Amino acid sequence: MKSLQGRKILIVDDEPMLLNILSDEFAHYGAEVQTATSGQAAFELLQNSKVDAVITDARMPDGDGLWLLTQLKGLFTTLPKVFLCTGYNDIPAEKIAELGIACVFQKPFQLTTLITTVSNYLG
Amino acid sequence: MTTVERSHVLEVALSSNPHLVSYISSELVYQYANPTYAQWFDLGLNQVVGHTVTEVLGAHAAKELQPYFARVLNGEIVEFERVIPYKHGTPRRIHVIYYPDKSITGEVLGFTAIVRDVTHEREQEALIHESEKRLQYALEATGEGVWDWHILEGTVHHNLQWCTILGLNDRYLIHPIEFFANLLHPDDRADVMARVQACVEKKQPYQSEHRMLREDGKYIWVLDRGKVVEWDSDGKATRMVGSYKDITEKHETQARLIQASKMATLGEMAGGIAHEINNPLAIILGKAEQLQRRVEEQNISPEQITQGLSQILQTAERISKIIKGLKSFSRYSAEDPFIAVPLSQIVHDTLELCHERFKHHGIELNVQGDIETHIQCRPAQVSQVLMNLLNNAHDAVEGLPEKWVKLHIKRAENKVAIRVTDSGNGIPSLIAQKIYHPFFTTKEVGKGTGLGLSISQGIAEEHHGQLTYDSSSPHTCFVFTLPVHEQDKHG
Repeated sequence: MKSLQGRKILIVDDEPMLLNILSDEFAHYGAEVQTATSGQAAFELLQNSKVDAVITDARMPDGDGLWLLTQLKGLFTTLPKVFLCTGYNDIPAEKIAELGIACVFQKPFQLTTLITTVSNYLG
Repeated sequence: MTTVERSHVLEVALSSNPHLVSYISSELVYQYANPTYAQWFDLGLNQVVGHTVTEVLGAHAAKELQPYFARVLNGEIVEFERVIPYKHGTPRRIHVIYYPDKSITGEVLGFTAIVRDVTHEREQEALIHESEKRLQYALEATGEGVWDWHILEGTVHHNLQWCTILGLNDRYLIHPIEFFANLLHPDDRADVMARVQACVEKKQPYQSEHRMLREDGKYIWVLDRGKVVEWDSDGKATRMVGSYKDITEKHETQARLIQASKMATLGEMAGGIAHEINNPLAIILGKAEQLQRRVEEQNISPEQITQGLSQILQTAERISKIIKGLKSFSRYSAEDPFIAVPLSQIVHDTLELCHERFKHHGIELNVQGDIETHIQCRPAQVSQVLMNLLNNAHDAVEGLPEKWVKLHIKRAENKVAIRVTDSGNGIPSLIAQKIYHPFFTTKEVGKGTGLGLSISQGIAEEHHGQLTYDSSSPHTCFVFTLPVHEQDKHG
């Protein structure tokens, strides 16, 4: 597994517990983690900070993950890597390609798989 | 009485008598005929008196009557009824009595004939008999049992079918009203008797679907209808008549249909429910994995372990609640007893199952009002109606720019109205007329069975409530009204 040392990662999920677990875990492997509980909050956060990766839930009440990803092009010249975590499996493949999603994780997923995959993409 | 007086009475009695009276000699010649007699044959009196029976009645009729003439001329009183083919007019059915007129020596000099035309009377009797038979056949065909309650006497009279439906023999054709009350299912008794009372007092028709005890110990469902038919001079009901039929089979079919429709609803919700479970499952697996790694690295305090485990337990509880909700929603609930529960419990259990689906599609779902009101119900069935209304609202607003659904509960006297309003702009009246028809749906194939509203309406009625579409609301709005439980009344 490649190191996540110094990598800036934004995690977005409306489940605070899951958000905690993921942020602890990425921090454990040396990433600099920021969190948001909605697409809207994440969008505001990204106005002032640059990140290497965005890991977002698909459906959230206040600005969902897919909406957030469509906004990235306007915010960055070099796009961060994006990952989607979802409990649904109804997101069409074209949509995933169009949004430049590196990988989709179906909930429930293994933490190790998530960390390894993200660090491999960032390495 | 003088002879003159007696003669007057006799004269009047004979001339005004509606019966045909005549005196015929032993040679069968008319000696006397009253005016009715002549009129009946459309003859003048002089065309009768002095003429033979053959001349007046015709050869054919005279021949028919010959045996009776012989008997009366033999000194016997003769009485008979038969159809006689008179030469004047159509054949008539007559009731006849011949009284022999005997001399002191016993010789028969002639006889008095009293003839009554019973043609019309017999026709009427036949008509009544036919009509009774028709009614009986019709009742047999529909399988209806008839009851006739003589209110003052307190007794109820029945036809045999009434007894047969309940497996009783004809000993029960008449019984006291209390016997009927005792046959009612204990849970239905108060309501049925209240409906009967309302019919007696308020002159409204009586109708009830309830359970009655059959002879074999099983309860059957019946549809019972009736009305007050007689009152005393003070306007108090004295007699109530009605009929009932066995609708157990219909009830069972309906129960199966309710179940099938519920399973279809569950199928439509499956995606949302999967997400609802996958989310906490992701937390549980993630937390467990994290704890495991930290314990292996010996990089964790006992407090952190306890905290992590309690998060896992708490989250597992969330899943367990959803599963319980699913189980209680999907189980067969048609025979559940009616129990008193706060509406809040039903609303929460229902939302537990569908709020994820609303969230998933960005639909705002809002609950407010007198949610702590208690109702007497089958909770799973009330939940089914709510779920159905919420799902319809969900599907209706899913594609709209403004997406919200409001559940508003309002208590008014002894009723509670649950209004489910969505951001849609109402239902076109042509469609609104059909929404309760079974299998009517505007949803695309695979999205709805078209049974939801018709079944929900059935459930509402079974709860003595109502499900109506409020066409006066600016937004699409359904109102589900239920009676408030006794303990909450006047409270």
